[in-house]
Amino acid sequence: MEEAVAELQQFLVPDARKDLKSAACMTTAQLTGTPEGLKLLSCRGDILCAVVRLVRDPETYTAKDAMRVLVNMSAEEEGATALLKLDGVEVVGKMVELVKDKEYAHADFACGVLANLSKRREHCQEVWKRVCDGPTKLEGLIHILCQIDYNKKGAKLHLLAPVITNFSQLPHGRRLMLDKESYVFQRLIPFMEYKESKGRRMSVIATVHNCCFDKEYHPWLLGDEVDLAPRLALPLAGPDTFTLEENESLPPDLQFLPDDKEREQDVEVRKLLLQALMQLCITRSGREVLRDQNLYLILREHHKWEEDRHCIMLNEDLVNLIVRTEQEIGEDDLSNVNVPEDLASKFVAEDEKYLAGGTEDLTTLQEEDTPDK
Amino acid sequence: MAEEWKEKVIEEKLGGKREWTEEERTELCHQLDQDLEHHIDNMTSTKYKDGWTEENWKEQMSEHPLFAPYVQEEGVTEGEAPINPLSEGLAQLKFDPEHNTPQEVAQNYKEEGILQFKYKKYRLAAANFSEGIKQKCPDGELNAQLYNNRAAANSHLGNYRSALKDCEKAFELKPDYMKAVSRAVECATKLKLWDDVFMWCDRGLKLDPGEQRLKQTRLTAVKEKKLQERDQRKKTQEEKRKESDEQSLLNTIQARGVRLGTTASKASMSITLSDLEPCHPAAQGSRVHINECNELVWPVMLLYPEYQETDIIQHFSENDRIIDQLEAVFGDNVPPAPWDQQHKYRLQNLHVFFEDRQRAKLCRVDAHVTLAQTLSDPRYQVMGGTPGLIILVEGKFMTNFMSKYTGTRPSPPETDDDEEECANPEEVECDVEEYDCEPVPNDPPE
Repeated sequence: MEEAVAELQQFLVPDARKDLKSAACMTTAQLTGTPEGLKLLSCRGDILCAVVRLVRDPETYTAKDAMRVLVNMSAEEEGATALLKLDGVEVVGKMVELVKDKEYAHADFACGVLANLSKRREHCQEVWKRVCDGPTKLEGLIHILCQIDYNKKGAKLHLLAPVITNFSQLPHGRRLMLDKESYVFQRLIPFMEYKESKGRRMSVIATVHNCCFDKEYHPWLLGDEVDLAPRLALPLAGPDTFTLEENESLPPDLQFLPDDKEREQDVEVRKLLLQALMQLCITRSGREVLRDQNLYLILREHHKWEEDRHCIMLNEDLVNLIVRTEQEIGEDDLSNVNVPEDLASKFVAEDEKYLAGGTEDLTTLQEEDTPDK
Repeated sequence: MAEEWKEKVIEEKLGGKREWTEEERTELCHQLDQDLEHHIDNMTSTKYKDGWTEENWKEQMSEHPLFAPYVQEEGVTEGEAPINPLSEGLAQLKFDPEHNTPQEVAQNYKEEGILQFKYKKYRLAAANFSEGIKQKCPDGELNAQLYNNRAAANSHLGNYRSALKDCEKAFELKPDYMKAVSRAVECATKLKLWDDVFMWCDRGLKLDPGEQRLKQTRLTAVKEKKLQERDQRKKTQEEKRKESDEQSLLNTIQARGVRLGTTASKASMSITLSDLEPCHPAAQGSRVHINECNELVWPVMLLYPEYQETDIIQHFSENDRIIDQLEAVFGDNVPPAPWDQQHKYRLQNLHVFFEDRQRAKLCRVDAHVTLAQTLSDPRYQVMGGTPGLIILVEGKFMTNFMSKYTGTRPSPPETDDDEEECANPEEVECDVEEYDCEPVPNDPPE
């Protein structure tokens, strides 16, 4: 096997004979399909380097197979580690360059490699660093993501969205996304309602969700410049059933929704939305914004419609905070509330019981979530 | 030149002699001075004729190439304007491709355009920039400026769409062209193309992240877009609601067994709401509608053929009895109508009919039934969305009027016992079997 791999290497060079090169590339791609092959290739930095050099091979099948190798390698921890350690080629920079190239037909694979590489926390930091050191940077990537039909060869670049989500798990990443001057965050917001791709929509919402865990940004997120709360509520809203007065009490985003307005279909996405709204309710000023915008109406209608127990629970927790007065809540910043260990575990147990189908109603406050999804 | 002239003087005055003495030199100077004096003395006799006079300065000025373009009226195109040979020459010098490189021609058109722009001649300016663009000169910067300038001229003319396109071109040629970005933002805002506004603001902010005006514009655009979308949704919703209200109105009318007729002969049998729009000016705005008690409320027209007068009862609920509504018009407490000088039209004297249009017959209505009962009569047809009731009183006119409906013979009214008197008793004779106007049954149908 090892010799066979060594033999492969000699054909994986740009000036090798076309047919042999393409066959070698295909064989390598097939190797990455098995755990053994993957393991073997992880130790062969030379071959991986050779593959990276073939991603722009004029023979489109060869280039595509080369990208396949990289996607499969990056999907597994060992492979991802190997790719990031490559000597001689910088895989992250290369992938960003391919994503940026409007004429590159396999840009979706390049997005996939980046998404895979940034999936694990320990790698994410490294990928992030390399993106920041490169010429395109986070802002450039988001700029590309936000341009529909950026790629002229039909690549959709939906997989760029999870890359951004992965970066939003890093405090540094969030800081750049929430930069008030660069309009990065505002550009992402419209994709929270993006119907063409569930993956892109979900990733963008997950990014927004992660960004809601930074309390110091709440005034900006809820203020005029971003006005995030209605955008989080919009996917939870269905066709309008409100009176004129009720409609006018809502923010413009949520007024007079059409008869064919559909609620977000995906349970996980709805959870993210509700959790994000919950985060915005950590502070008193956040709760006051949600009350002023009368988002209770949207939550009330959502509650009637919702069937998922977890979502119902999240909805009730949220409504609990909104309908109660500040006097009743008695704490401006809920993150200051210290939940004793024994109570915390009791609450978790109650939640689990509820989710398992118990009938007990939850009236207690949700304990803190961690910023990672 | 000077050398030639000197040679000529030496030849003529000194006979070709080159070495002069001081005296000869003085002599020559004196002689030349005298010649000049003499020449000037002779000149004074002729008058200068080519100057502009008070009478012709306007005309002269308009023809002079230095001023010509600026006195031209806006909208005069090149072809229409008289071409001064001098202007033509100058233009040739400036714009003729045989004398200039495309770069120079484009540059000259640009300058000419800027000049026109300064004089607020935006149409001419745009035309000049277009000519400059047409040169397809290789200078990207110059072309970017030409596109940007044409965008400026067009935006002054209100052609925001073309201006926006030119900004795009200018920006393509010169990706750091902030002027083009600002102009594009302005044009897209005018056109309410909010997504374009965002795109251009983002482009501008990329060039200059601190640009406060762009930030403000972007923020305003986000809000404007939200409001515009909201208004659109609201409008759609209102339209839908109106549509469904209208449909339920039509369904109710149909369920009540009311037949609607149209004056125009229609191919389709379906009824639309336009058939229900009252034609009578007094009834306009009170189209049949459903009230809170789910009753149909009609505008009803009372016709008094004797005096060719009408009344409109704007809101006649279908469950009101006819007599009750008539009481409001002809009751004891109501003064008689101005046309009713003989005070004949009192409640107890009234006979109510409707017209059976299909058979051209007059049908008597029992005033004690409701409007709904009357309208559900199979012979009744509501025209123009306004049910009509014909009101007559006993007398010669009534007899004559009724006779028109029954062709050759007058149809007798159903006389009440207490109202026997009749103007022409002989005409009351009638054949009971031919009596068309069956009274509406007294007990209301369910």
